[in-house]
Amino acid sequence: MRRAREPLLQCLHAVIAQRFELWPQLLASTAAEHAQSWRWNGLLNEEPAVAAVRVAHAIDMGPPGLQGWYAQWPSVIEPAALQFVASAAGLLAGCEPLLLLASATDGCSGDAGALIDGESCARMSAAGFDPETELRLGNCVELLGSAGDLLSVSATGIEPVATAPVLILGLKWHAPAGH
Amino acid sequence: MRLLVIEQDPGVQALIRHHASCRWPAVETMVYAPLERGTIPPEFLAQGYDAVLLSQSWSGAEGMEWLRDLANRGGFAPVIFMLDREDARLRDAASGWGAFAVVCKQRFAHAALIDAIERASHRHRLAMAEWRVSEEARESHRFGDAHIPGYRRARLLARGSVSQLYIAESEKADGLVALKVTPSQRDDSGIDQSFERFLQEYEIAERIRHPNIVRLHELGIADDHAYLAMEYFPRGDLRRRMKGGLAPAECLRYAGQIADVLGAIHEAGILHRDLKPGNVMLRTEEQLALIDFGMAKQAMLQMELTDKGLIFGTPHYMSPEQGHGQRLDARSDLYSLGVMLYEMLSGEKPYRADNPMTVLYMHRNSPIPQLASELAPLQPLVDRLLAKEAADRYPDAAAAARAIEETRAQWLATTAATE
Repeated sequence: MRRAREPLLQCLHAVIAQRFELWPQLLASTAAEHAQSWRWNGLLNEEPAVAAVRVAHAIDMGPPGLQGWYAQWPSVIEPAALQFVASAAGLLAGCEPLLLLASATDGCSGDAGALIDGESCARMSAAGFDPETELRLGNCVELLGSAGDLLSVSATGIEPVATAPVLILGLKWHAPAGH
Repeated sequence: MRLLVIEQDPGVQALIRHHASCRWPAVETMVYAPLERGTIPPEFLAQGYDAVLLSQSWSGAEGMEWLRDLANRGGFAPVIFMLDREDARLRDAASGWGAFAVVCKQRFAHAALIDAIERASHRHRLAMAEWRVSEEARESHRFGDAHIPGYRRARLLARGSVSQLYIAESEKADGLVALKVTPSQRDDSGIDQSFERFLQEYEIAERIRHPNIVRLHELGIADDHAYLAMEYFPRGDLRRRMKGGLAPAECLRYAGQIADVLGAIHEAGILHRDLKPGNVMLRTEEQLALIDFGMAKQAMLQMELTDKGLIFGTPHYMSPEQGHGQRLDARSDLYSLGVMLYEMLSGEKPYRADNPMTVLYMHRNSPIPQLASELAPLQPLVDRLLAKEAADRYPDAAAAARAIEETRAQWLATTAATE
């Protein structure tokens, strides 16, 4: 799945600290560079745990390729993007070609988001964590970190954008022809 | 970045691979599952790896013992010890026994692992850079008169009249290799016969690619010597396994694997011609691998005799037609398989005599020996494989493999019913 992570990470990189109006265009061109189809779904209104169900279902049932959403969750105790991804990890467990990324895009350093796949839950268990328990305890940072799924954005040198939304990307991976 | 992970649990193997690949996308993670592969040979120093991650336990608490052994081998790559769960006493003990760093599998922390690997890699690269320019390093690349870069000599395994066989550690392959080195032997037309023979072995193994065939890593020339790097089998060969005694079902399983690989070889138009227990290696206790295709020939070629009238091959395992210099086909290899099967089952070779020529005579003329009465259900299989006339044997290796499998299934069913 190493190659499958690339389009997601580059999409994230493309929009960090960029104006939101530019996102659809930037994401579409990055998806095209990786020969992945692209679909922009817009805003997710639900709270993170519910939105996780919607997104997991959409990428599972959707065509191969990339899909994008955004959300504007207030982060109270820990980043809402991480709550969202940790909830989705259980839903995607065992679905090998599916990947999901959610990340803050304000350009601040730190644990901005996470990138999970169908094996994330198995890795969490192998790392001595019970995903359900940790999720209930709100221990998403440690849980996602244990699976190697945290995205730590180092200082970008870009002026942080205070009101930047959370980027959510789902990928049903298919290796591009000729690769 | 290259990592060696000594861990039995596939979940933890995948976990480490993922963590490492997130940090180093091009990382090479080799897994060593101890229950399948057994202990690490004493010659192995893991010098081609940046770090070794060693689990605390797989079926007991063996990891600590392994740590004590590995970390005390001079020049061994840094060992990162992975505790099953946090235990301050064990953590201290592991450090005391030479662990470069200690991490905990329970509530695994990405940063701790990556930091430990980074530090270990840095230290190992410095140590290797110093070592590479040392006299010891230069000496370690010496294999007889040949200097072969990329391989560290561990020890001489066997010395033949022409070639030498070494155990060596490769910087590229996954662990130890057997390195066969022979001086160039050019004929009148300038063709290097040693290289040609190695090339033949290499081509056969590359062409056939069967799980029961030795894996060959590299063929090369250095200092006017040809060398062939191939898979090393620490468990030894079938001879060694036979000394410990084999249950009939095991004999049949091994015979079935040999028949299967013979099928692949014959299908490629090649005869092995030198099948014997010394050429059948144990990759694991369950899986065999066939080696030494130096005698192999394209099928249907006539038997060769040397100027002195000596016959290539091993008399005890030779078919009657091979022993008498007649035309050979795939059924000759099946006869050799029959000899091995008989020997596995009875512990003795079917025909024994004081000199090789008498053995060859017996292959052709003496009656097929009988197995002990409790093994009587297996006699028809042996009779068919050891038939004097090739036409009376199985027509090909695939038919032999099927017959062996059927006999094995019947044997297991009968044994289960009587228990």
